[in-house]
Amino acid sequence: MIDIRKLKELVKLMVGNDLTELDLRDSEEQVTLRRHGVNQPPQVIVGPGARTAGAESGSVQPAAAPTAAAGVEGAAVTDENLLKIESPMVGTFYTAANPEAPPFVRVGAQVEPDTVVCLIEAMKIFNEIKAECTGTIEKVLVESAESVEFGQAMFLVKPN
Amino acid sequence: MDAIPLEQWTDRIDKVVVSDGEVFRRVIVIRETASTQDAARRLGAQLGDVVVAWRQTAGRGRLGRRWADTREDGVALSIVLPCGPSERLALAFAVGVARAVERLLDRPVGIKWPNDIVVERRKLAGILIEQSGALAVAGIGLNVSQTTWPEELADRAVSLAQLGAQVDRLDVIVAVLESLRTALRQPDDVLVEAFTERDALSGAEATLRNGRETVHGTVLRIDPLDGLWVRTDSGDVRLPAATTTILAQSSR
Repeated sequence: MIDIRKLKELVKLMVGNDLTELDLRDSEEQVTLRRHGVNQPPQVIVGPGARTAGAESGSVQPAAAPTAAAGVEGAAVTDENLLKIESPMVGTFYTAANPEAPPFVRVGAQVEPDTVVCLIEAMKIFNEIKAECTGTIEKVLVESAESVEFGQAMFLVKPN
Repeated sequence: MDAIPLEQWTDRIDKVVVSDGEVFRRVIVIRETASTQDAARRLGAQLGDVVVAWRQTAGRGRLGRRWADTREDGVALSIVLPCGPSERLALAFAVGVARAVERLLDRPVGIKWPNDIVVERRKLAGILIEQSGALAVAGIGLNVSQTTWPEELADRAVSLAQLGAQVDRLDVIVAVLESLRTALRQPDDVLVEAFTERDALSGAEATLRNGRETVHGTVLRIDPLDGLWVRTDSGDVRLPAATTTILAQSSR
């Protein structure tokens, strides 16, 4: 288990030295920290359990299913209780408003019906897609800039 | 510099285009804002609202790209409309803006699919449409009286003034809104024909992306409500309009 205080120290170290990426590993654990912009909080990826945490709040979110590329397509929904957020249209899927912005939601994020989870672009028209359900993001099934079909599942949500 | 001061913009726009209450219902003029798209949302703009900026300092383009500060040389406005099929909205805006500037310039302009207004590959106007819930917010940036450009835009941007039209920005706004009002009500086939006449991409060599696939070739033709046909080294392919973006274009 990663120590939150240790993480906070690492984050300070990164910001203080203006580092954009920090990768630490030993026999037990692996921590990768990434900053996309000077004004944005670092993104924390803790391994090997593929946990994610918002560094700013210091809270560790529930464990996520691995998001290996192989798992992206044909993601069988084994748990019948998970909800799917499906694409209402054909277009290109984006996880963030622009390449520098943080994603709208990450695995572990709480969503409500009005939470914007992604953008879908078609013909240079950007459509904000809302969760339309309440729960925790369990899995992101599509990668940014991939195309999505009508009705394609994009996120799996664990209802509260 | 405009002959008509900011104080008169609201009244003039209201009188000419908003008073009919059919497509446009209210005009909101802002002295200065970073982005009329964001201002429209922040102000909780409603269906039929037109948000116009005297000066837009940091307009947004696709995927966070910037639209240069309009200063008092460009037009920036956003329109709130009912959400609709992307292809149809993109098409109506492209055709509407193209016709308006043609009237002001008295010469034809091109539409670079899906909705850039270009003259000899230099951008005269750009359109960004964002849909959320039941509303679409369509932003238009249009270059009016610029005579010089920052170095990085020098061979990519052009203004009405540089093309010989000395017009007041307010007249441009009114012309664009009037033309959009017409285009938004026209049937698909009329808009498609208007697009095809101005299609600036067909015939050009381009690199396009469809999902994860990158395609390079000559664009044969475009049906803006359907797809793009491209001649590649390995044969002709059709790329669906909804999922295709242009990465690069070389000269025709």
